[in-house]
Amino acid sequence: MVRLFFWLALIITLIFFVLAMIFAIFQWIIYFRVEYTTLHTNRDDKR
Amino acid sequence: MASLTIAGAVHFWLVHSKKIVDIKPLDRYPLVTVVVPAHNEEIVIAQTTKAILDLNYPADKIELLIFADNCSDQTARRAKAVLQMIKYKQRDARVIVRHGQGGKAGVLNDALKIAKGEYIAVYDADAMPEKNALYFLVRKGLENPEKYVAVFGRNKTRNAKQNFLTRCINQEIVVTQRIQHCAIWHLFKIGRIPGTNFIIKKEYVKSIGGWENGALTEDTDISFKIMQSGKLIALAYNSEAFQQEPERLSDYYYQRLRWAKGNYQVVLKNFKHLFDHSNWRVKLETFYYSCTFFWFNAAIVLSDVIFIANVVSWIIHIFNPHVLIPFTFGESNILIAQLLLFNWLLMIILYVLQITTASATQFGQATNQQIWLALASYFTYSQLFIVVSINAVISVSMDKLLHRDGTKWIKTKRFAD
Repeated sequence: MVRLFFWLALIITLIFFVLAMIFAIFQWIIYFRVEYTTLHTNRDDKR
Repeated sequence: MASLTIAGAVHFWLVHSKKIVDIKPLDRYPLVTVVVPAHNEEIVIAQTTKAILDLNYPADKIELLIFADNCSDQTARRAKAVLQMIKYKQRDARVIVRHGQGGKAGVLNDALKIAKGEYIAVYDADAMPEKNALYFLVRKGLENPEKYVAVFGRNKTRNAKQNFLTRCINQEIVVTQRIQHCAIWHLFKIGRIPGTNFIIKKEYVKSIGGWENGALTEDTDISFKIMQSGKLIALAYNSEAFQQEPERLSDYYYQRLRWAKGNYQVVLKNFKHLFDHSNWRVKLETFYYSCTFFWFNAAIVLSDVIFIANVVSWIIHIFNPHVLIPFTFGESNILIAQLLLFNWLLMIILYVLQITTASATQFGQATNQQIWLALASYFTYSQLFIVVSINAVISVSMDKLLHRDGTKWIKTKRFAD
């Protein structure tokens, strides 16, 4: 029973760990896109 | 549910982070009746009134109704003073002094009877709309007028920098609106009326019998009704309003207790729809609310009980080795203990990650300070909800058992800013 719990917990942990890594990468992509969009919009407005 | 929500939000923002916000003239500008329910709001009513009258929307297409509802202060006088200014004298705006029952829902129902507009917009007395807030709401509504009977925007905290509490509240609101609301709209076309900064079709509200008088959370209640009828509450993610949040713990507690009680009441009222032939969005929302307000809270309370019991036993064990630590897997299962500890750290990382993702969606918001604030709030601010939630459950149960009036609530204090 304890062994079953251990393997179940390990699988769930790995899934969440992978998800966290993916979200972290996408968070940076969103950050740079927002920065780029806002800064280029401001530059175009000034022109 | 949390992972699904973050995934939906991430996809939403990957798409929308490249879009440039533009303000093009609309094909038509429907008449909008803006309703401001105000109960003892003398401190903030003037600013909100001016913000509404200065909206980037044709002046002849806005009818403003300010309800000074059961006020014992100068709310009506201060609102009238703004309307008397030369700049606003010709506007279709009036102050209605109301002495009635039903709270905010009662005010909205009264407004429904006299509103001339095609849409009713609601702004709380402390919620100053940004200049284009109404424009974005109407623009979204006109995308699909048949289906989108209501459109909601987002609200920012205007006193965010006041103290630690308001900073945490601001972070929570940003995450709720930029992660949760965006995700559930993007994935399921589910929207939630937030109580302020939204528009709704007047004829539709009449057809469903208006708002429920005396409801603690009339916004959640009407959201469920809209979904039940197969219509949608659309998200206009660029529409913003700036509202005050509680600056003191006691004010925060009573506000959140009211919200929690109201949401419990709505969930209990709609729980039966999980098992009947209701609209699938109602089922999903009921399931989501149940997970948050019942199962998640129960799990958190249980987790805290286990944690505290183990820590206390461990401390006593140091002085009295006969005392055993109650909740363990045995000394040989150190791997499980390490795995659970890693899980705990991972949950903190996910918590911080959703906050940083929400911050990244707005220029200049993703700072190191937000990360430190997130870590601090995980162990402090977030734990407050356990107390609120337990009290709300007890209060709702006692209201039912003792046949008490569960609609009485304490007003949130306002501040001059």
